[in-house]
Amino acid sequence: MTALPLDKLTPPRPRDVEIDNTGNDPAQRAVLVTGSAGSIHQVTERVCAVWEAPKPPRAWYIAFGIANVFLMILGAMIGYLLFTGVGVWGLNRPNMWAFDITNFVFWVGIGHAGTLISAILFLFRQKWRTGINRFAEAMTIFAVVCAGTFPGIHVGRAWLAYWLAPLPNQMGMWPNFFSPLLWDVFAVSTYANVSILFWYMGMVPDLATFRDRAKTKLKFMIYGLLSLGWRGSNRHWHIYEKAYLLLAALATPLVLSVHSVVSFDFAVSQVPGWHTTIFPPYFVAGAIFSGFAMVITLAIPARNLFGLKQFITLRHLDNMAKIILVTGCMVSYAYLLEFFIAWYSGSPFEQFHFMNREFGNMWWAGWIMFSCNAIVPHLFWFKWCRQNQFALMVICLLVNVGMWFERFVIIVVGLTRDFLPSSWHNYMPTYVEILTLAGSFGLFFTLFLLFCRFLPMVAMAEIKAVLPEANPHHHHGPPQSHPEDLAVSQH
Amino acid sequence: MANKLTNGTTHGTGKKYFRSLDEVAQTPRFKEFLEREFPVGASEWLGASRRTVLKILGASAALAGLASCRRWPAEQLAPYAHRPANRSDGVPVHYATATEIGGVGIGLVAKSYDGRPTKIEGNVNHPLSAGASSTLIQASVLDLYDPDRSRNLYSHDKSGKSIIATWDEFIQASEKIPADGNGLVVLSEASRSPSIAALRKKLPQAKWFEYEAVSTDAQRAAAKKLYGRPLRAVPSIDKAQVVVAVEADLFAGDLDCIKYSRDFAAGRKLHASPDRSSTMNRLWCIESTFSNTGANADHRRGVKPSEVFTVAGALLQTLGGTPLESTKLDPSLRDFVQKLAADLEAHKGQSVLIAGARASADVHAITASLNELLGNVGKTVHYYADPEDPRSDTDWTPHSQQLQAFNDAATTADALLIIGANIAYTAPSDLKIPETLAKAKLSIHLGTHRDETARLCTWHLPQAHYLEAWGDVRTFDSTVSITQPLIEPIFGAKSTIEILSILSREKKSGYDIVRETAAADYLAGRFSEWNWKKSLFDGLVAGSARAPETIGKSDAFTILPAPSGGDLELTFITDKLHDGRYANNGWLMELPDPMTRLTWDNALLISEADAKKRGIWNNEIVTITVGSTNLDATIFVLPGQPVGSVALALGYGRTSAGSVGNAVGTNAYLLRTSSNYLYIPQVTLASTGRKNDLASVQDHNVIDAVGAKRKKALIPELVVEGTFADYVHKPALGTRKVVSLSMFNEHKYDQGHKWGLAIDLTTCTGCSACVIACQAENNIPIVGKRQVLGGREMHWLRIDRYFKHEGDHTQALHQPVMCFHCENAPCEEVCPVAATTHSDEGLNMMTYNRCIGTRYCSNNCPYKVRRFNFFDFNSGTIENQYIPNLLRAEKSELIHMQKNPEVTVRSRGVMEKCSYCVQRIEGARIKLRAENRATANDARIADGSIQTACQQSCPTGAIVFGDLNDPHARVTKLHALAQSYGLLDPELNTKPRTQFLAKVRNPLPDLDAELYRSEDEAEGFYWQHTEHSATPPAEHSHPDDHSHSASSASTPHSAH
Repeated sequence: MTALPLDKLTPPRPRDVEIDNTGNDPAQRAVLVTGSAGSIHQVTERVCAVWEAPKPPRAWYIAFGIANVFLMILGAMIGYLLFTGVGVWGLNRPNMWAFDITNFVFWVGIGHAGTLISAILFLFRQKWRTGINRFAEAMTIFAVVCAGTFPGIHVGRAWLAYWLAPLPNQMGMWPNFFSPLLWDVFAVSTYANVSILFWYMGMVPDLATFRDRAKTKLKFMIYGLLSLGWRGSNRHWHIYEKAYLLLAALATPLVLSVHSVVSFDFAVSQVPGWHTTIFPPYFVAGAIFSGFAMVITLAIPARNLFGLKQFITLRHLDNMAKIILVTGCMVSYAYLLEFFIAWYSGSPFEQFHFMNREFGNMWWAGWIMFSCNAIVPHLFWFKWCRQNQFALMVICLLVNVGMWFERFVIIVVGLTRDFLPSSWHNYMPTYVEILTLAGSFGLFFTLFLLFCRFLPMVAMAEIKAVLPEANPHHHHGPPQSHPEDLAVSQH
Repeated sequence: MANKLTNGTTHGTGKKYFRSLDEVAQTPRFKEFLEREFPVGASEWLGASRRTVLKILGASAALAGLASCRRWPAEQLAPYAHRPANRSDGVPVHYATATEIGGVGIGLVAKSYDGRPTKIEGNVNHPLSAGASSTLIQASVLDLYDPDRSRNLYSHDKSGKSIIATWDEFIQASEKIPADGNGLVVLSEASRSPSIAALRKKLPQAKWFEYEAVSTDAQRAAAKKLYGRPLRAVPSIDKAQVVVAVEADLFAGDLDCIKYSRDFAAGRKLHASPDRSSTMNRLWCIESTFSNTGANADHRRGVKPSEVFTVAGALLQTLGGTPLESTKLDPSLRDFVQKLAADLEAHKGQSVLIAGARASADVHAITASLNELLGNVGKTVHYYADPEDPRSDTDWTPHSQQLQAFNDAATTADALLIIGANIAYTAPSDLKIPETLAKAKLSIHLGTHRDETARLCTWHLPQAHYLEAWGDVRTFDSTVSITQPLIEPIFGAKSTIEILSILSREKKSGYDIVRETAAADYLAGRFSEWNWKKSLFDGLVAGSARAPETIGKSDAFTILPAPSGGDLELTFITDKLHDGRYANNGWLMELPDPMTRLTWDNALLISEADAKKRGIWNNEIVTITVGSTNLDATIFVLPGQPVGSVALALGYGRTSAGSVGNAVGTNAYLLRTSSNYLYIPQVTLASTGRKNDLASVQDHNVIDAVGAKRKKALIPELVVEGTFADYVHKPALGTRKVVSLSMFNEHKYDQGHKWGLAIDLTTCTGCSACVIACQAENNIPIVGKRQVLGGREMHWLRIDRYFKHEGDHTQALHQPVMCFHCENAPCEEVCPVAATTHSDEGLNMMTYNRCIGTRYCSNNCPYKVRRFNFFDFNSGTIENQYIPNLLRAEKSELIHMQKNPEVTVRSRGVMEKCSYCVQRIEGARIKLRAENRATANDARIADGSIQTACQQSCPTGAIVFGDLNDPHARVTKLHALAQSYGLLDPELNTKPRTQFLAKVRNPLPDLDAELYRSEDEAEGFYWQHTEHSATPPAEHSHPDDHSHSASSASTPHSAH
C-alpha cells in the first residue's frame, strides 16, 4: 500500500480533470474514484469545497435566477387556477385529464432512478452507485414534490383534496378503496416518505462532517441539529449500516410498486389504450428509463460545475447509459407488444386506438414518443455516445421529451377518441397548462440548486468506503497503481 | 341595578311600591338576592384561580376573534304569522295557463314554488299540447327572468333624447289619440286572442295590420284562391297512412309541432302491438334544405327552392290535376314522383299533404288541391276559419303584404302603435321600415325588450310576459284557453289588452277584460263563476272549439307560372330562435340545432358539392351577394343539403336583443325583400378569407381518414336501424343481445324498485324539447360559445345526430343520450371519494357535496354523459368566466329565480349528470307515503306516476320511465321487446338501464333501395363528415355518381 498524501495539510486545489476509467480490463477492477480525489482526505476536501466556497459559481446564480422565475410562474399559474377554476386549462369532455396527469406521471417516473440507485443497486452491491446516489436521491425527492403538486391542484375543488386521504370524519365517510386514484395516494405518499427517510438517513454522517467543518455558529447549529448527534462511533456506524440495509430493503419493492400503482390509474379503467395488463412492468421500465435520463441530465452540468468529475466519472455515465439502453429496449418491446395485443385482442376499439395513435388526429405526438423512446436510445449501443457528454445530454433530453410524450399520448390520445364518435374532441393546451409544466421545472431546479449549495452532493462517507484504502489487501493480489499516479501522469 | 332598587325603596320621595315583604324589610335573604346576580342553585364556578380565569378569558377572546372572521350576511326574516290557505312553503303549486306564439295558442301548466314560476309543461287536456311541449314552450320561462327585459317605460324628451317615463305620463300622452282610434295605425304580432279582438272593436277608427316574419299565411292565401276564403288547413297526421311534407318543418320549426309530432308518432307506435300486427305510416319529404322533418322521412328529396314547385306540380299532374306550365322534371325525380303518386293513389282519404312556412302560396295551392283530389278533406285535413283575424275575409292579404300596407298607412297616421312585432329588425329590407318609424311623430312600441324597433319609437312600453298577465288565446281548432298569471309583473309591465284598454279610455284591468270577453264571447250564455273557475282550472274553455268549415269544390285551378330559379338559390329557414324574438334566451341560443348541432350561430348551410366547387369549407366566412346587397355569413357544409341550394336561418345578427343575443350570427333579414320573401333565386358566394369558428357540439375535430373509417364501421352498432318489412319478420333488427357473466357480486333488487328508461328511436324526431326540459328542471347553466367550442357544454341530455350516406341520398337520425345508469357503472368504481354510487333502486347517483372533481368518472364513462363544472357557471356571466371568482361581477339575481329548489345548483369543480330526475322519484314517494301512511312500507309507486322531465316534454312519447321490477310497467315491456338494446352493452358489459328501441323506417321496397339494404349487403353507415380531409363517400361507393339515375335506384346495389 502506497503512502497516502495525508501530510499535505493545505493542498493546492487540484484541477478537476477528466479521466477515462471506462476501460474494461478483466484483470483489474476499474477505479470508482479517479485522479487526485481518490484519497479519503481528498474526498472530504473536494465535496466540502462546494459547500465551503464563499460563493457558488456564477453559473449557479444564473441557473437559480432562471429557476426562480419559473417557480414564481408556477405559483402564479396555480393561484390563477385555484381562484378561477379548472376551466383555465384546455381540458374538455372527453379529455378530462391532459397536462395535469401527464406531468404527474412524468415526474413520478423521474423520481424512480434515485431510489433504484440507492436501494436496488445497494442490495446488489453495485459500488459504483456511491458516486451518484446522493444527488439521484435528491432528484427523486424533488421530482416527487413536483409530481405531488399535480394531483392536488388538478381536482375541481382543490381545497377538498384532503378527502382523498382516509381521515376519520363526522360523516363516517371513507374513500372508495376500489379507486386506483386512492391507491395512488397511498403509493406515492409512502414512496415519498420512504425516499425522504432514506435520503436523510444516508446523509447523516456527511451532515456531521459539515457540522465539524462549520465556520460560523449558525451553520454549526443547523448542521448540528441535522446530524442528530452523529459522532462516528463504532456503535453509530453499526446501527447506521443496519438501518440503511433495512431501509434499502423496504424501498426496493416501492420502486416497483409505485409506478405499478400509478399505471393502474389507466390499466384499471376501460378507455381503449389505457385498459391493458402490460402497464405495470411497462411503466416501471419507463420510469427507470426516464429517471436515469434525468440523472444524467443533472449529473453532467453538476460534475462540470462543482468539480466532481472524479467522483461522477465517465464510467458512471457509461453505466447509466447502459441502463437507459436496457430499459429503453424494454419500453420499445412494450410499445410493439401493445400493437400486437391490439390486433390479437380482436377488439375494434383497441385496434382503432393504436391506428389512431400513429396515424390519427394526434399522430405527431405518437411519433415523438416512439422515435424518442424506441429509436433514439439505440445510439447507446455505440460507446462514443455513452461517453461523449454532449451526445449523452442530447440523447437524455430527447428521452425525457419522449417519456413526457408517452404519458401525453396514453392519456390524451386515448381520451380524445374513445367509444362514441359523437363525443370525440381534440385537445389543445392553454398557456396556463404550458406555463404550469414549465413552472414545475422551476420548482424542481430551485430545489435541486439549493441542494447543490447547502447539502453534500456526493456521499462522502460512502465513497470513502469504496476507495482502495478502505479495502486493504495486505500483500495479496497484484499491485494496484494508485490513481494519483494516473492523474499526475496526465498533468 | 341593585343600588337603584335599593335607592328607590329607601330614599325615594315618590310613591313607594314594593315587590315583596322581604324587600320592605330588607331581610338578609333579600340583600343576598340583590348581591348575587343569579339565584341560589344556579351553578357557580368555584375554585378558579386568577390565572385560570385569565386563561379562559384570553382563550374566549381569541376564539371570539376567530369566529368573527366570517362575516355573515345580514338577513331579514318575515315569517308567515298566518299561512295562506292551501299553501305550504316549499311545496310547488301548479296553475293552468296558456301562451300564444305567432297566433297559435298553447295550453300549459306552470309550476310555481313560493310564487316563482319555474317550469312550464303542456296541459294534458289541451288539444294542441296534450301534456307535451316544445323547445319554445320549455324555454319560455327563462324569458320571464331575462335580466335584459325592459324594466322601464321610455319616451323621448323635447330634444329627442330617450328618458325613463312613468305609466301616468304615458296615459297622459296617449290621450292625444282619439278614443275611437282615429288616426291610429296599429301593427300587431299575430294574435287570435278573443279579448284583443273585442278591444279592437272599441277602437273602430284605428287601422289594424298584422305581421309575422315567419308564418303559414301562404297556406291561407292558397285557400283564399281555391275556396274564396282565407281558411287554415289543419292536418290530422294520425289518421293518415301516407304523409307528404313539402317545405315543412313539422316536428321542430312549425308552431303546431307538438300536435304534428304526436300525430305522426301515433302511426309509428310499433311497440303498442307486440304481435307486430300494426301498420306504419310513411313520411315523404320534399324540401330545399335538410330539415329535421327530412331526417325523419322514409323517402326524401332535396331540391332547390324553386324546384319544389316543379316537383309538387309534377305530382299534381301525375294524379290527374290541372296541367302546369312547367313540366320539366329532372329524370332522377320522375321515378320518385311516380312512386309517391302511386302511394297516394293507394291511400285515398288516408293520406295528407302538408306544405309549410317555407312553401309559396302556389305550392300550398298544389298541396291543397291534391288533398281535395285525394279525398282527404274532411278526413285527414280540416279547414278552419279565423274570425279573430283583424283582416276581413274579403280584403284579406297575407303577412308579407300587410307590412307594405302598414308602411303606406303610417305615412299619414297621427300615431303608430306597434304591438310585440320587432319590425325594424324583421321587415323585408326594401320596405325601409326604420325610416318610416323614425319619421312618425308619435310611435308607441309595446314589447318585452327594448329592441331594435323600441329604439326607433317615441314611446317604449314594457310588455308583460304571459306568466305575468291575464289573457286568452285560441288554438288550431279555436279552443280557448285563458292565460292565468302566476306572478305580479316583475317590472310593472302591462299586457297588450291593458294597453288597448288604456287607448280606449276604459283603463280596465286585464282580469276584468278577460272576464268580460268570456261572458260575451266563448262563455256567452253560460257564464257563471263556476264555469269561469272551471275554465281556469282546466286550462281550456270546454265547448269553445269551432267546427271545421265545410268547403265546396275548389275553383278551377288557374295555370300557375313556374317560379324562376338560378344555379344557387338561398332559402330562409327558421330554427330554434323562431323569427329572432327568442335571440336573448340563453337556453335556446345554446340548444344544438337538430341537424347541424350548431349553437351560438346561424351558418350558411351548403352542400358538399357546392362548397367544393367554390373552394370553400366549414368555418369560412363568405360574402353572399344578391344584386347590390352583400352579407357575410359562415359556411357550414351540411350533408344532404340539396345541390344548388343554400339556407340561412332567420333570427340572428340582432343588435338590440340583449346580452345573449346581440351580435350572434348573421342577420338574414338584410337579404330578405318583399319579392324575395321565401327564397332568393340567385345568389353568388365569394370567400372573404376570414374564419369564424362555429360552435358545433358534435363535430369538434377534424376527421382524418383513420377516424372517418372507424366511424363508418362503428355507427351501425350504435344506432340500430331497420325497415318495417324487416321488422315484421325479424323484429330484433340486428340488435345484439348478450348474456355476460359478471365477476362482481351483482346488485340485487329483490324488493322495492328498479328504475329504468326506454327510448323509442322510431318515434324520436330529434326536436330537442327534452333537452330544454332537462335544462329547466335540473338547473343546468349555459356556458357560452367559447366554452361550447372547448367542449364544455353542460346539457345532461344530448341528441347525437348521425348521417347515413349512400349513393345520392343522405339520411340522418337522432339518438338521445343521457346517463344510462349502468348496472356495472364504470364511473362508480373509479371515484376515489365515493361521490358517485349505486342506489338500492339502481340509480347511479351523484353526490355533489362529496365530489372533489378528479374527473376520473368522466374519463371512464364510455358514453361521455358526465358534465364538469369547469368554472362557476352558475354565477358570473359567460363573458367573465376566466376572471377569478373574487374579482368578477355576479350574475343577475333575477336568473336565480328560475332555479328549481329541489335540485342542487352545482358549484364549480364538481361533476354532474342525468339523475333520472331523482327529485321527481322522491317527490312521488313522499306523496305516496303521505297519502298512504298506514301501508307506506308496502305501497309501491304506481307505473306512470313518475315522469322524468324529458319524458314529460316529449311530444311523441318516445321516452318511457318506470320500474323494471314491475312486470306490468310499460318500461319493462319495452325492455323485453326484441328490438330493444343497450348502447355498447355487448362490448363493455355495462348493462345500461336506459335501452333504445331500434329505429324502424317504412320505405317502399323499390325506392331508395341503397339506403335500406339489409344488414348483410349494406356497406353500413357512413359518417360523411364535413371536413377537409374527409374523402367524399360518393366517390368511393359510386364512381359513376352523376350517371346514377333514378331508374337504377330501384335495383338494390350489390355490395362493392
